[in-house]
Amino acid sequence: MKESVRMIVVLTVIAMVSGFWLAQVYHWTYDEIQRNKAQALAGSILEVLPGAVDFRVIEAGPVGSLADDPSSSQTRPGGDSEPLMLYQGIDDSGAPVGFAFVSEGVGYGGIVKIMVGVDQASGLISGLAVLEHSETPNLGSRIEEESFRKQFVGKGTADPIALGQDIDKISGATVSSRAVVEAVNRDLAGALEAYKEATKQ
Amino acid sequence: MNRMIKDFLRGLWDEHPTFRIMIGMCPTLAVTTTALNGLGMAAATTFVLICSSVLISMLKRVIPAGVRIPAYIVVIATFVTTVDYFMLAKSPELHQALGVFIPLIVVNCIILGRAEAYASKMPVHFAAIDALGMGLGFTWALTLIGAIRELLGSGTVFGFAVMPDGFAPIKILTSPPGAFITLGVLLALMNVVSDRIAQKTKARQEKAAS
Amino acid sequence: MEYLLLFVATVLVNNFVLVQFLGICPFLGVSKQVSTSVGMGIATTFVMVMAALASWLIQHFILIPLGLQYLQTLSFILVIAALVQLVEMFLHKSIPGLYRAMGIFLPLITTNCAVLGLALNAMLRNYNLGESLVYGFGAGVGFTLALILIAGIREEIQFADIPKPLKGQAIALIIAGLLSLAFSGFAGMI
Repeated sequence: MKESVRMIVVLTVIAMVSGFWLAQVYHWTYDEIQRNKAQALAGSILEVLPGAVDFRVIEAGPVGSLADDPSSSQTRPGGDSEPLMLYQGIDDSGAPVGFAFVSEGVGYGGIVKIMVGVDQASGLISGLAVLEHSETPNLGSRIEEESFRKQFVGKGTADPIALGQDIDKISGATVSSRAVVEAVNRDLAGALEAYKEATKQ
Repeated sequence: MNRMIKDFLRGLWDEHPTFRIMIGMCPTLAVTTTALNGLGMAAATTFVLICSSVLISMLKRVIPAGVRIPAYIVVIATFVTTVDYFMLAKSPELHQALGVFIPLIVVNCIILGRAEAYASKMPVHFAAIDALGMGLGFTWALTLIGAIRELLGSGTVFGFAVMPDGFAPIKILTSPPGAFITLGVLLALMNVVSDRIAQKTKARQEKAAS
Repeated sequence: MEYLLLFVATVLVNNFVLVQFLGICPFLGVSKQVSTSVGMGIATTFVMVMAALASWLIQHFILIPLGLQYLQTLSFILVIAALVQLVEMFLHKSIPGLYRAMGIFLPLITTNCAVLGLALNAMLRNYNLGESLVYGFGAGVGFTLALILIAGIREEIQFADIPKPLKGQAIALIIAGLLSLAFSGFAGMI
């Protein structure tokens, strides 16, 4: 009996020490990890907005209207009431050059997260970056390549961007290519409207 | 002292984790697309291996035999999560490249294997030297495989272009089939080399005897 | 339809062993005979589905509500170890026939990185419970398939005249490479 008590006590103590230690590690690294994430985000915002040297965050409020769009069957993670974050790019003279937003599509290996940049004057796409994906290496992962991404530049909201017509899909990676196109189509119109609304004042 | 040197060298060749015992194969194949990724993975694994071997050796009289495996797992998982978070903070690019294989160090058979077979029975300094040897053995193997795949698959080593201009990269070596084939060929080469060594030693011994 | 796609993708296109390099140790270690491969495969598939369920419940009912995500790796591996123990005890008591067939493989499953990899990947990809279960089952089927395929080939080449340095694991790795090459053909399927 004494042996089994000892087993439980030892295992509990080890588990508790481990838990406290990991909480400390989490605490120590938290700031730096957040800073890395913010840096990566800032980098991709400037990448999709040519000419921008800095950016401002505009919170555009809940995008409930987007969810009513019958063409988008996916639900947003975290519910439809999640505010859409717009990042307004500013050039070196302080004038706005456009805005960027984050959107998501469902790919082959999971969520594909992209950053879309929209030009201030024309309202057309000025750049696209892939933030996160878990697609098949050397195949679906080619959505990261510039030759695929730059096809989106100059496209707009006049009609939905169609895979196969406006955008050449990556052969052997239809699902991954479609995920990017869907992500663009889903939020582009709504983001543009929200941006106009927010910058009117 | 002699014993310690022997223990250290064991992991580098005679009981090499990758080429002899064939454990820890998942990261060996998965992350060795470049020399740097291989080195980073191996460094993380070596760190966890040394820390957990030392701690398990220190705790060997405290941990009852009945719960030793769960206790070892908790110790190992703690160090792995520590490495995971520090790598995410200090080198997000490497963390991204190694992906799920960082938390999977927990189930790397090298670590639990050394804990069970060696560290739980030996004094701390022996456990540490054994872990260091095994870790360095794992490191040279992963770096070598990564370097070969990177050299032939992309024409670079550690990111530096070393191949002449006309070189056409053998792209398949950076993809999954290339990993299996590279390791298979390396293993065959190792077999040839150790056969040669064994024959030479045998011949020398026979000469000495006659 | 979406579940079917996920299942096919997990079994063939993103095969755990041949494309993602998860579960290589049993793949090379236990794949000398087809019969043992089947036993190992079924036992692993069973544990994988259970692990997908258990890890999903822990993640969504304990770790996320309490903000303890940094205990993810630790809690998942402990749960898998406990799960393997439970399955072993259950089979030993209630289905001794199956236990005799599967029993020797069970302890090996704890350190099979395919099981922990499955649990971590499912959380990384934000799968819901249904998707996690399909993913777990697909991963198990894919693992079993790869194991049986290579075991079949290794049984055949037992009597072949292989150059001495290639004997054993070296030739097994090269066969695995060719199988992996064949599986990469599935990539264009979807």
